Amino acid sequence: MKRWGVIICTLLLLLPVQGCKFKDLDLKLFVVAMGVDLSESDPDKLSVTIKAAVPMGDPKQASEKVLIMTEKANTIAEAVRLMKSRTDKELDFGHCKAVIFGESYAHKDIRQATDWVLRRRDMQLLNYTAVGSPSAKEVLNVQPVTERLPGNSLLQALSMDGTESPFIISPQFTYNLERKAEEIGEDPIMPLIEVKGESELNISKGILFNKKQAVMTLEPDEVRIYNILEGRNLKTSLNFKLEGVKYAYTFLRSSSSYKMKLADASSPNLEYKIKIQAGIEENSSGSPIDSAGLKELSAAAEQQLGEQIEKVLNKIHKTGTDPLGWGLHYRSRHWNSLTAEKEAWEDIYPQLDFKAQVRINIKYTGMIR
Amino acid sequence: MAKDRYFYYLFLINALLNIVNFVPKGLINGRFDGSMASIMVAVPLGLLFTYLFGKVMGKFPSTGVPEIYNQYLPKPLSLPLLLMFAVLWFIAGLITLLAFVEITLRYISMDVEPLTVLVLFLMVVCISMRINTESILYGLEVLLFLNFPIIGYILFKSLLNPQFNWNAVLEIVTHSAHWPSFGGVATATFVFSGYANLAIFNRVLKNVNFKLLWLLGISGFLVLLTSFLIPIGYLGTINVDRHVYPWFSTADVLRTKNFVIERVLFLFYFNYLMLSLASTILHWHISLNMIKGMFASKKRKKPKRSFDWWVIILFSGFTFAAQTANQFKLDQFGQLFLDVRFGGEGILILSVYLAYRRRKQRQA
Amino acid sequence: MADSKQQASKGNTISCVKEQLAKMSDLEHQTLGFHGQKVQFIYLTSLCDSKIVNRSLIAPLYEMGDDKEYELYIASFPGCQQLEAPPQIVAKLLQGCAALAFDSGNLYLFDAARVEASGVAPAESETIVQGPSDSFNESLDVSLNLIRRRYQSASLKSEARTIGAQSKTKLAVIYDEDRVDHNVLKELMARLDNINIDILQGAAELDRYLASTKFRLFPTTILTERPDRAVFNLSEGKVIILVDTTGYAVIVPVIFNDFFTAMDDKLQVTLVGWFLKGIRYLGLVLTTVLPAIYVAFSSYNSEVWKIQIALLVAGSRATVPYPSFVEVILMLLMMEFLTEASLRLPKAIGSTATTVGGLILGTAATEAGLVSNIMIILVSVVAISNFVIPLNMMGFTVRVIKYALIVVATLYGLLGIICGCLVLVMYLTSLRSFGKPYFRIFVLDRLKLGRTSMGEKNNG
Repeated sequence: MKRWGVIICTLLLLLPVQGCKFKDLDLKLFVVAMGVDLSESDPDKLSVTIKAAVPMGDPKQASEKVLIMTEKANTIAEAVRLMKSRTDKELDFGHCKAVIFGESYAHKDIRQATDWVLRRRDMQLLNYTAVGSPSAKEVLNVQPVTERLPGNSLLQALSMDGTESPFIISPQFTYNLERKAEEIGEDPIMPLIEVKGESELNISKGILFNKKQAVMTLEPDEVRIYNILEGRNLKTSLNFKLEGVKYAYTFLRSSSSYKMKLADASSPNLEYKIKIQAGIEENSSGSPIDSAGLKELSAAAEQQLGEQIEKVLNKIHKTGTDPLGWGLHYRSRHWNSLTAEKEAWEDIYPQLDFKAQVRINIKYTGMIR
Repeated sequence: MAKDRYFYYLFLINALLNIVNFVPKGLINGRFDGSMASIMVAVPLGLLFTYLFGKVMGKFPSTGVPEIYNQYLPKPLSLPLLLMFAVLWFIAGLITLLAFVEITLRYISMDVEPLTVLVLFLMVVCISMRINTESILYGLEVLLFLNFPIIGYILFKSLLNPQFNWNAVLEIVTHSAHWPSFGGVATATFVFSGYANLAIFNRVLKNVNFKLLWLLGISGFLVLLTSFLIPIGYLGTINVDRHVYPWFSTADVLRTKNFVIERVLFLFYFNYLMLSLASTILHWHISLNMIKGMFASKKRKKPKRSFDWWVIILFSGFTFAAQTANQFKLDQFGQLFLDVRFGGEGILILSVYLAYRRRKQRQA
Repeated sequence: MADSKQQASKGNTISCVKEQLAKMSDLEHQTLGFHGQKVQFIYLTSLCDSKIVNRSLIAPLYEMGDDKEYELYIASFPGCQQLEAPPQIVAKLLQGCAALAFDSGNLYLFDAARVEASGVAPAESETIVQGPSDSFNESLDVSLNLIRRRYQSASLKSEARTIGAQSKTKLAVIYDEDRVDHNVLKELMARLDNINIDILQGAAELDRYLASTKFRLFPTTILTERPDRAVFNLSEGKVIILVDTTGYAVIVPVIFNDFFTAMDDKLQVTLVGWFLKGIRYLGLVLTTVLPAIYVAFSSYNSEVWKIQIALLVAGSRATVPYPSFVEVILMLLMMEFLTEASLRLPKAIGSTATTVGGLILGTAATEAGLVSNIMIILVSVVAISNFVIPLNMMGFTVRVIKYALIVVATLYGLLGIICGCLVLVMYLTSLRSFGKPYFRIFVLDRLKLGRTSMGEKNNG
């Protein structure tokens, strides 16, 4: 009895201790996304934008209120502190889900922002990263009509939970960014978000990074090829032409793998093997397709896709970046020491020659022949 | 008398706790310099230690190490030994506790004073460590039973995630052909050192039968591989060593859509909170009993009740003092302890064997 | 000479008894004469059944011709004793015996106790859907009968004990000799012998005196009114203590899981039985943890849950003028008042109280903005899931524990809840019910308890 009395008394004595940290939910503003731009007025400063959800009293109301704030400062930390004095509620980054880098900032150096995002303890490692064009601020300012929860449409598009567009690069979280930025033999890549009018976003491009900055933009077609190469089952369709007739085929299943052939030291090559099961979706001539024609079509599609793939690979290769992790693949198949592998790969990579072997098996012609 | 299976719980909690006690960190530091090889060496070595200690403790049924020492070893030898083990076990718990305070502040973004969290943990541990040895085993069983499914879920989820980079894992595996290091082996054997808890728990456990030793070997090996390789698969071969607690960062990488909790990190954290506190309770319970053993004389078997409270005050004092260290010191200290503990285990086994020899001589 | 001495001693005895029982308005002292002989009757009218006295004692007196024959007739009744010393007589009179004093000096005590019991009524505090509905009643014999009829084995032993210096309450300690753990039995007997009290009024009271420590959070004995539960536990090697005048039996030793077994579980399909058990444990977790989680979530760990939920809670809390823990404790107390009120009220009014309290108060409180919507949902869940626990004793404990968790949650948030649960688990495992571990996950060992002791016996 006495013992419990003591315990209860100590608990009671501890009650005042909590006073300062006890902060009720309604005193918080939940930041859902943030953006980092270069300041236009002062190139040395950053312009940080946050998008926060404001809790509303009535849950039946269609949409929640949004608060968007921008602040300029030398560091992100400073900008956030400045923002805090502009609101009556505490900014809570615990629910932040996306970090958008402005295009100009991405082309300069993203390391400062990345470092802040990773180091700050209430930021998740699961933030979607993307580049915003023309600027992160404008991307965050867009309010799509379909949006119920602030920032949610952006997140759904990036996460591919909602739409499954073949032109969106697979989710790149902050930890992916961090991993690729440090890894020997893999480089970051991010989706590029473009503003289209007041209430529409367009995510169809990609941006390749070297270790610190953006180096090249991938056009929508190239992003699609990149997604095929990444090897997941992509839901897409591709066009090709045969004897002046336009065809389109949908992917039923696709897989991709590659082999490095390094035996010949003077001309090392990397051979992609892509297997696609497909069905015809469109035929501009309208004439029925027979089984012999199907083979012909497959061959034509294979050849044309192969060319496209080689083009994209060569384009990526020219920038010197390695978004698909070929270097890591090389390292994981060799038993040498880290430095030896690194040096060897640095020698091999510039000479690498890309080949694509595509096998398309058109199985169906759709509902009609 | 508790059943056989409780011995395996002692092993399991230690094996699971490696994540908090800097084992992945230690292995990751040497990931290009023989960590894989160290793991290969550590598994048979750990099993051997387990087997030897189990066998030799089996010769003293229902007795703990303090009683064995007091009875069969001369006082000048038994006292320092008991003191050493009390300190070792205390430090084992201390590191878990301090590491977890760190983790709490780092990942559960509360702007709380570390001291406040520490006070809470200390209260939990100190209240619980005084209950009797058998009860601790029952409590352990309950906690493991509650937490095991969640850990299983997290492991499963982490391996099936498409973002998991198998190439990074393979890269580490291709660095296996390297001499193991003493540090690496010492670190990796931590997974197996749950057997040492038998030093006190032998009082309530029946003779452990070692038919399932192979199971310990396999599960220990798998635990080591997962706790070493999965963070690398997510955080990259180079970048991984920037994370102070790689496994908690790894858990942060996972997301689930099926619960009200979205971030797996929280599931993982609360899981390990329970396990860490349970493990600290276990370790400090042993330490407490070792200290009690030092003061147990032939006349008075058990010291007074208030004795416990003096030990608790002592433990708490040391903990508060140690709390002032910064993260790098704690990290180094944790690594150092893993090495020292390895040696301590050897001494433990040898000393009990010595006691066994002396008993035989006496009987002869 | 000897005759007169006996006469004198008899006279003394009677007067001595009368002296001790002075100032008792219900004392009846009759002297009936026939054939020149006199027989004195002394009894307490409140304790004795007047029908028995009339039919078995007074009527035959006038029907029989001979006093010797009558004496023989009296002596032939089972439960009739011939006694000497006054203290014994007084005690017996207080138990409901009638004393008959013959001129010859012989003194008989005739058991004419009137047992007022409420009859075998359906069980009220532990109702089940299907299955027997009878319950123990206040008469020890009837209760014993209910058990014996269900457990027809020669190994079923019942030992009698009397407890209470004034109340002299009769107990029957019942166990299956072959299955019981004899250490438990020994400890129980020792503890029963150690009880020094004046009055024992109920089984619940006995339960308190049997406990090893003064302060405890959890019940370590089960109080039941169901004979089928008692029998089920007997077959598991447990000991049942029936207490006269209470209508309840005490079961020892018990473990935590016993409190979550309803007697219908045995009647259900296995799968359904498991499901029901699972539901009960879930109810336990919800009712203890949910209010604390609400506090932790809305005041500390808002980042743990999905943002949708965070916004929802924040929105519905927007008008609430005080911190979350005040809100929770306020509403929970309100709910406690409701339950308490509806428990004690007559059944007809009870439902009105619940409606007024639950529905009207809840709605009004949210509309006034004093309490958030989510809070109302939560309180209802907590209240309902509390009643999922089949045995009330555990239900009451759980009702108290959730407040402790709210306190730690206000101090430390989720961290505090987890730590609180941990301490709770450790506390539970450290409990012992008559030397048996109270809380374990795998209780399969429990079922073997009876069999192993039997096996050991066979081996030995």
